[in-house]
Amino acid sequence: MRNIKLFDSGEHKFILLNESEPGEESGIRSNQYLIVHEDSGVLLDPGGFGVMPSVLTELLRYIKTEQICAIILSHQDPDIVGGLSTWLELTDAPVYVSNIWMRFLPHYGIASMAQFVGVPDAGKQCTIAPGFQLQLVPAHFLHSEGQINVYDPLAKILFTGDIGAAMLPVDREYEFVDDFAAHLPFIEGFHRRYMVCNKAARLWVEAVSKLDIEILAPQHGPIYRGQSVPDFLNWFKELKCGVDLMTHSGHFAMGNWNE
Amino acid sequence: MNHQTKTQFIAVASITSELTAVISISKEISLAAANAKAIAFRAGDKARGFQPITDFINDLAKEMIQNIEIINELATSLCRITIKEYRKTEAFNKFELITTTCGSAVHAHSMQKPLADAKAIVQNCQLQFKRDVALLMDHLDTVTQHAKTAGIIATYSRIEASQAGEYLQSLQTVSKSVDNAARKIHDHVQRCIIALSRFGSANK
Repeated sequence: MRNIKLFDSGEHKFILLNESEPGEESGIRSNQYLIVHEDSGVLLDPGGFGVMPSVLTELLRYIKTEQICAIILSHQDPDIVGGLSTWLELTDAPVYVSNIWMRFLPHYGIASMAQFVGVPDAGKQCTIAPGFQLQLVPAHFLHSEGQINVYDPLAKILFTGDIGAAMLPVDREYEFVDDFAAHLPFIEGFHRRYMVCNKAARLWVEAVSKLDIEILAPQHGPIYRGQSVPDFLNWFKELKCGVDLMTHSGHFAMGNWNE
Repeated sequence: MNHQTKTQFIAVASITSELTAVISISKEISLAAANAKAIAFRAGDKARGFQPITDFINDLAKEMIQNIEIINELATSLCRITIKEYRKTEAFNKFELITTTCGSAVHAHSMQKPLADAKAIVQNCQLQFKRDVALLMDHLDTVTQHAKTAGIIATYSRIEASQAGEYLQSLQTVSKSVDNAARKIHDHVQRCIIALSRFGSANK
């Protein structure tokens, strides 16, 4: 999946720039998004070390390198941050990341933290350029302790990081979730195991339900649109997961997923 | 990591390791000098010629330690330069790859400046590395000279010790330990010089 314009009003675009192939980093497929407003671009979760060239190659279709105005990291995992040191050789743009992950990022081979902006627990409003605002929405413990979502009010898209992430089999590929029930088998195990607890899920659903959302764009797998958006939120709000399912150390009521 | 970068890392790391040993041996020399001074004081007139030698050995050991501290700082700087060069080279390689693959992209030309900047920084790192290696070699030469001087002083001190009567054996032991230490330092420093010689010759 490459170059899918999730929103395009001419002056404002929200693009699924690239979905890395599993072979690119011998890992899982991950989505990298670009939001463009006139001459300003914001890159969401630029990806691991191996995918940097393909993400940048796609990005150059839309903006110049000097038009990258911000990079936003949803959380601290290597499939999101691993390629960042090379991006920082390319751009002086600020990099937004949760305050609680700032001290760990230098271990990704990042020479200086001067470009980093810590996002407080409650999230923040970011003015990228005149008329271009993004809302950094907290999504703590889902699955990262300091996860951040990005809400684009012009596109009405919520970038959800690992919330809603799917792990499709290698031979299955579809771009959008139009049938939530059919999609559920590909997200259920991941969410039960990688999300911390129902309380975190419920509080997040309550918070994002106040936003006007047409699309949920996760970091892995297909994109939720139409009826699948409320279907996912309703399912997630009731989900028992993580510590809710722990019976004793190392054991979960759901069984040991992914073994 | 390419072969050149690996070799640089190994060379710089081996210097730090060798120097740790040299500092420890220099401290031993300093201790031996203090010990010799106490013995010479007790020996009085019998070891009168030995007393100024002990001060000289002590000063030499201190100077050696100071030099090694400077060398250590330079070695740390070399390590940082190597890491920076490695990062910039990685970035340059990626940018170069992208310029060849993004030919049809509207904004492909915007890669030219980052590509040129990365290349300039890599070249600058390589120059700076060579300059610092040359500087470090000078300091290593100085330590080699100090080690040689310590060896000569050890010989003199053996002669002086021979006139120290009942203190002869104690003072000879001190002379021998200074001589051994000087040889060990010389060997360690030579290994540093060999490890670095392939990187600094252009500027020497």
